[in-house]
Amino acid sequence: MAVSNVTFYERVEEALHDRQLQTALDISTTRFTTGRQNALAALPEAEALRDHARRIRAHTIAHLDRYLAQFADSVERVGGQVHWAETAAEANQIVAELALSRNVKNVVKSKSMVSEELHLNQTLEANGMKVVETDLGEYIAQLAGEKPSHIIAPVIHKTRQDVADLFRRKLQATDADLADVPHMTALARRVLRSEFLQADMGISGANFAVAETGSICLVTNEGNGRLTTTTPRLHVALLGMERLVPTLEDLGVMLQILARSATGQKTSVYTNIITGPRRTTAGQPIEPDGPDELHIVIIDNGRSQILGSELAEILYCIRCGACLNACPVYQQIGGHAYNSVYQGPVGSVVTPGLYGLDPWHELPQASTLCGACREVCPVRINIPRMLLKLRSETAEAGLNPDWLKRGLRLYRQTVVRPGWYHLGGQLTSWLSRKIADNGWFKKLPGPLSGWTDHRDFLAPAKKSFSQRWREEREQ
Amino acid sequence: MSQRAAFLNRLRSRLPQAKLPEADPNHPSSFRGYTFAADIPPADLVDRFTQELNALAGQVYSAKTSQEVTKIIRQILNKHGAKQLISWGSDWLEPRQLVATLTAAGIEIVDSELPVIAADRKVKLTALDKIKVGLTGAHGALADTGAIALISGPGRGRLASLLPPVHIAILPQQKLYPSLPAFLAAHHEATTAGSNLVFIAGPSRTGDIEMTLTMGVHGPGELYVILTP
Repeated sequence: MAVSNVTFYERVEEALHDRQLQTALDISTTRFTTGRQNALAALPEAEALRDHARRIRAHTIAHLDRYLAQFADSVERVGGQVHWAETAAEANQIVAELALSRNVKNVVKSKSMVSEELHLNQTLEANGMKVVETDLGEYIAQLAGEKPSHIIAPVIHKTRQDVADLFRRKLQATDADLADVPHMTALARRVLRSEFLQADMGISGANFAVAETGSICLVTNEGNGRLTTTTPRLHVALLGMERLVPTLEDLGVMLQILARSATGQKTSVYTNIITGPRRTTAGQPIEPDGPDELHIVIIDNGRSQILGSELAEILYCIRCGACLNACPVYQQIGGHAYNSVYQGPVGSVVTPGLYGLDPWHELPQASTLCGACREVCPVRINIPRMLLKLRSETAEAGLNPDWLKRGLRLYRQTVVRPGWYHLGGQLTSWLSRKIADNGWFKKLPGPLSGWTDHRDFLAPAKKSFSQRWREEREQ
Repeated sequence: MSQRAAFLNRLRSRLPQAKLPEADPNHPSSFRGYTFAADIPPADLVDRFTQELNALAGQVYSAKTSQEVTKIIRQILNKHGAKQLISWGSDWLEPRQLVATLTAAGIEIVDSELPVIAADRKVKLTALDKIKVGLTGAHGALADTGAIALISGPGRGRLASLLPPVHIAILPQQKLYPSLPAFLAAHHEATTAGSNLVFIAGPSRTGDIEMTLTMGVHGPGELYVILTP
């Protein structure tokens, strides 16, 4: 994965100063978290369903080899073809070869996070193909040459004016086209509809895959997922290897909690379950439409590294985005600061898990360990446990910055020596009184300024706890 | 070694080191705690379904006779100045004589079979894209969410519920189910009868620009469900 020269902290800095982003984050994360809460509260069995969903995911991941084999057999039985890709390069090569061998020129895509992981668009474009994202948010991001900033709402960082300017520049939109959001959406519909009609290949991801039936399930509100998998004669689905559930009944369990956790909807508008390509008899199609070929590319790309580790629990994730919305850090810095396909708390585990701690060791620090992510996770993944594990690995690998290493060493030496500890306490207390302003630090030196740049820091009390304890006992 | 064998062997070599809390060797079997399921009187199912679909900006009509069904469809067609339909085959629409009645009334049911030849397919799709209304039956509907369930197959294309800006679905009342899990439990053929099972809950929508709710971004912007006895 490409790593930018801008550091994590510089990106955070930029996000915190972006007024528009701050407003958008306030509105969207509040709306999503409230929506989720209400939707789950209205479902009496929600807590029991979450427990059950967790058991299904845990069992599936523990027997992933078996269920993947069953899934592949099921797909082939209904006429689909299965490809296995260990790396991003292999996956890209498989898709590019399929496209080239079938003379594909125009490609439409419905939202797929795996494809972002692969940088598939670049590969196909390098082979002379036109690739169009069709989820409205993803399309806007593509036109702007940006990356999505939220799993569910890719361009929450943009205003309608930003989008209007973009449409004017890139789509030669008129004033009438840009009158309001419905008109802008109608323009995007017209442009993208013509892409759907001319597409030779549709590329989708998959929210879930069902081992017993060989089905994949795509959940969308816009309907682009249905068009992508219906109008082109060739459908390629990219499947992260962990996205399986054993049975159709299990899929039903997941669908009861996915939309509620993601957006607070009871259901997404379209729950699209695809089992094989358009049916044929004796080589002749018997269904009126649907793709003539279905290829499913099962992708590892680092997931088996995660599987064989203490981070394996993160593979239970069903990609609802609830942990992003609930995270006090995400609520402030938004998705771009993470500089990764997977953002927020889940991303802070997945990204270093897939690509290694170097250079991604800063992400597990982007958490207050408050546990909100674990609280809202529909399958109750213990994200804080894994963030701590990654932090300890970061320390063991010597990847922490020098000031932190020295600071922690000093702290360790101090806290095990009561004399030093008390002296340190008194020193801090004295210093506080010298430089604190009404009991608050307005500006701290060195690495500590990271805190006071954005808010004041409460100065320690004049008397320490142990001092007061002693005094209380003496009275 | 095949790609598949290499892939699966890699997983097998990693699984023993996997830390997987609460992973049971046995499949957890069925979830038994669904609260909105059994013993709901059919009339309540209709009410709840109507309420839920209305909340999603879908419209529900009730038709007692086949004449009423035809009348509602013609009203919707007139509203859009349309004389053509992309439709499921007459075997899959109730009442059975519906297609004949509509045809007699001057409505054209266009051929919507997509050719296998790639170039012909695009030409056909471009022509079909001009049709304003799609007509389908439905295999079921979910009272708790307002979604309808459609299974593709011979005579039951996906385009009728997807390409035109208006979608009309005819749904016999006895096909109402409390929820998606209840529908799946009753329809084991849902993934074998055709290549596509879709649940549709209201018109296509997006909130991608400033979280402003907008209908009809890719799929139909209007959805009408006609309930029949």
